[in-house]
Amino acid sequence: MKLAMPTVTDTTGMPYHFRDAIGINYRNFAMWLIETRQPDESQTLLTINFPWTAESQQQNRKAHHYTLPQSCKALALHYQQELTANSGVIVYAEVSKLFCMLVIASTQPEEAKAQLQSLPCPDEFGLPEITVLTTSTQAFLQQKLS
Amino acid sequence: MQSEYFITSRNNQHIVALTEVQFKELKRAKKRLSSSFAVAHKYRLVKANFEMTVDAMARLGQLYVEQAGIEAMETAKPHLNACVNNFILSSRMFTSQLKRHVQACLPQNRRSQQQLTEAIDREYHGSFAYRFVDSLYDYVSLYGISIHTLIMESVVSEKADGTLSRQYGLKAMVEKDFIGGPAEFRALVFDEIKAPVNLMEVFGQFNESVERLHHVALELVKDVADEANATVLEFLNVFIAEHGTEHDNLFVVHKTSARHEKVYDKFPLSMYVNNHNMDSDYV
Repeated sequence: MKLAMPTVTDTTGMPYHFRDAIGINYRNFAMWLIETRQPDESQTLLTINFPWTAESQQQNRKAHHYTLPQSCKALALHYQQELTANSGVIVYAEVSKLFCMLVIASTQPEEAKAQLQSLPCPDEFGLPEITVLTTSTQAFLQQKLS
Repeated sequence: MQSEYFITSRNNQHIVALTEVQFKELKRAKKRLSSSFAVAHKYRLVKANFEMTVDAMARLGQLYVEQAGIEAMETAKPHLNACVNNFILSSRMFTSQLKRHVQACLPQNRRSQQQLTEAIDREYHGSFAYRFVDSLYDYVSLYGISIHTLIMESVVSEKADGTLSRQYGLKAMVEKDFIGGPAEFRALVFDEIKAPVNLMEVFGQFNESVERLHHVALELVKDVADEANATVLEFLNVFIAEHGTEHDNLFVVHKTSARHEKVYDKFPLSMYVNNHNMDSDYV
């Protein structure tokens, strides 16, 4: 049985479902936009993948990787704020010991990409990699969450 | 060789003499009562360990939601692992000796023993959970770990007024990838595992099997346990009639002159009667 805990008023203010997998040798936290807010197929997805620096990996390990979920949420919130002007919405974010990834849906992917590239990279990460996808939000999430 | 038989108080100050027949009757009664109590006690152990595991899961979930620090989490996780291990070990204690206890109560009764064997087989062949938990004993006693992954999920729902509510759920998983292979885990059961196993789900089902087996076993021995209880009570009343009620622990003793009046056999008696802690359902 999944241990159900009482439903609480959300204190994160984030309309995302969360899943935190705490393994004996890995940690993976993922968040994805709730269904009522997910964009349709007309919007293009971009992924931006931030690798943790060696120093960050050490810090994370010292904290037993309990800081990873918060790092992911903070990164997503930060970039969501930067993107509002371009109407890009973060539909998915994921963090592991090695990287943190954001997936953005946008009606203007090239402009969104340019904007992302112009922003300073946070200190905890190495140079991020941006990819434009051809799958829709629904297809992407279905594949990721299955 | 001269044998003498008694019921004595703890300090041997007060005794009631017994014949050899009476001694054997009491010995048989003690064997029956101790066996039925063993089944009942071990069943309660399994149940209690299950409840403790559920509590430990709830506590861990709570700590996670409250964003308790590393230390709290790193204490709660081994605590949960310990509860899980205890459940698995006590389950093995229950299942592995069930037949022996029933046999001790009903040594001549082939039919009863067969009924129990059939009940155990039904559980084993009918329930993956039963097979899995049974197999987990060897793995856990070798490696000391049972939970490989904890998954904390939360689902958000949005109300009409735009406010969000979040429901958390925690799962504990055993990963087939980490179990190893047939050398570490019962081969046939290992092959059955298709995905990570949800431990609490499996434990819940296993618990139901244990409850059914406990019921079968105690139903089988109920009559002889009642008889044995009556026998012991009878003799205790004789002792009390002679020596009063202030003796808290009584023993049955077999002395033999072949060993210079040393005690050959001695067993406690009064612990098996008037036990107000036990369910009146069975013993």
